[in-house]
Amino acid sequence: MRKLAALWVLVAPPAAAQSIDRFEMRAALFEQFGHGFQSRAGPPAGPGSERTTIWEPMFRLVITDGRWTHDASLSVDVVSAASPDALDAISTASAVNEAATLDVTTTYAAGSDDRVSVRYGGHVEEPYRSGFLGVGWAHDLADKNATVSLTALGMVDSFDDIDYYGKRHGETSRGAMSLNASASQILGPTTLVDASYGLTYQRGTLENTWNSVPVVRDERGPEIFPGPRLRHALLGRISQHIPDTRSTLKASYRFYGDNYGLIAHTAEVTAYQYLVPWLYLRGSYRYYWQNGVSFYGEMFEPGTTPRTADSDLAPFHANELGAKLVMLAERSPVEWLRRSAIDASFFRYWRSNDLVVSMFVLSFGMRF
Amino acid sequence: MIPFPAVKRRALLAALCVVFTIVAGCAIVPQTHRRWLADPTMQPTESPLEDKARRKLHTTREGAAGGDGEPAGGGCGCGN
Repeated sequence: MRKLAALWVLVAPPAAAQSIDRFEMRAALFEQFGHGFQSRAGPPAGPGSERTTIWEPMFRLVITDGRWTHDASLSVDVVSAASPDALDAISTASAVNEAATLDVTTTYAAGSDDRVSVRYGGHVEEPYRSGFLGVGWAHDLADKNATVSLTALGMVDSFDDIDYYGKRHGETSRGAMSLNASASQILGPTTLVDASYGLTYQRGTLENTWNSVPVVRDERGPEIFPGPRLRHALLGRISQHIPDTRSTLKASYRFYGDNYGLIAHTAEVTAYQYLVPWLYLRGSYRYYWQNGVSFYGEMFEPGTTPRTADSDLAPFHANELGAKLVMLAERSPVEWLRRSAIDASFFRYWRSNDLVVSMFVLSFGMRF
Repeated sequence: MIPFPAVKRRALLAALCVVFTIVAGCAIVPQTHRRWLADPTMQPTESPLEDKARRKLHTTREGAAGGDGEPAGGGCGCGN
């Protein structure tokens, strides 16, 4: 009973008057070009098209009331050629697909140095449904010079078992449990470091049931994964502000490894430069390398298992360049602009195995 | 006793050196001296929505998701 009461304290809306702290609208456009061996939108033995366009409007609302904060975001994806393999190549049923994700985090400041939170939400798209629920705890140390936090999140996905011919075989599911520990530390008046470690365990139908692999004699077969997947990831980052030039530099490194034999390294550098006190420019570069899962191939003998031809699981390296212009309107000399925030960004992502994605993001926000 | 490969020993030593250097550099910075740390460009997350959009690109097009406080391997129609 006591546990139920504690849970109610976390999820119940506060009784006192709430106030809207922030509202943001953001629109992202993804344009993707490329080819992959899992796609059937091409010759049987060769790679098929992965061409797709995604338009993603997003909304975020932050409501605060004393010790409570509710942070809710809703994103809607309008996807053309959502699955350029079985579904599109055979039925074109998903030539245009829509998806929506609701993500809510309710945080309660339990004391001056402690915060507990509940995170919940769901995702719906054809032919896919997902729900998640998690808890978190954060604790400040040494007059808030350091913060440690722990989060746990469970997720269940349910989706139609559609094979690579487009035939439906009922429903199937998969589950994931993620644990994450992170810490941040102030090193000086202009320097901050943070690090995190994440562990994820997945089981169930982890394959994309509609993905196919090329099999000898110009045939196709289903993708087959080896079983449960255990992932580890370690991230470290340093942020340095340079007051004399009003610049900020950030550098991060991430290591990833899992029991599918995939190893990945990610390095990213970001530079910020104020042009005027209310306008800054950001430039970023990200390099990613992965060795590919141990059962990746581009042609298989019949009966080979496990197997995948998914180009996202192949050995490759990727580069990403980004630029962003941000207007901090609260510092603007124009009075009526001071409660708003506007930014625009562009990212260009390209992989060594024939995939290019361009992403444009436009944002408008209001503070109350 | 299980032999500990030299390369792992060197990696562990390097990691410990980094940790000790960071810990040794830790100093209590009073809240009145954190003006630059509060700058918008110094925040770990500038915009949660933009981070979601970028994360979606990386988790759906790469095999290595997770480790940044976000779930891995679920919530999107991909098996990466």
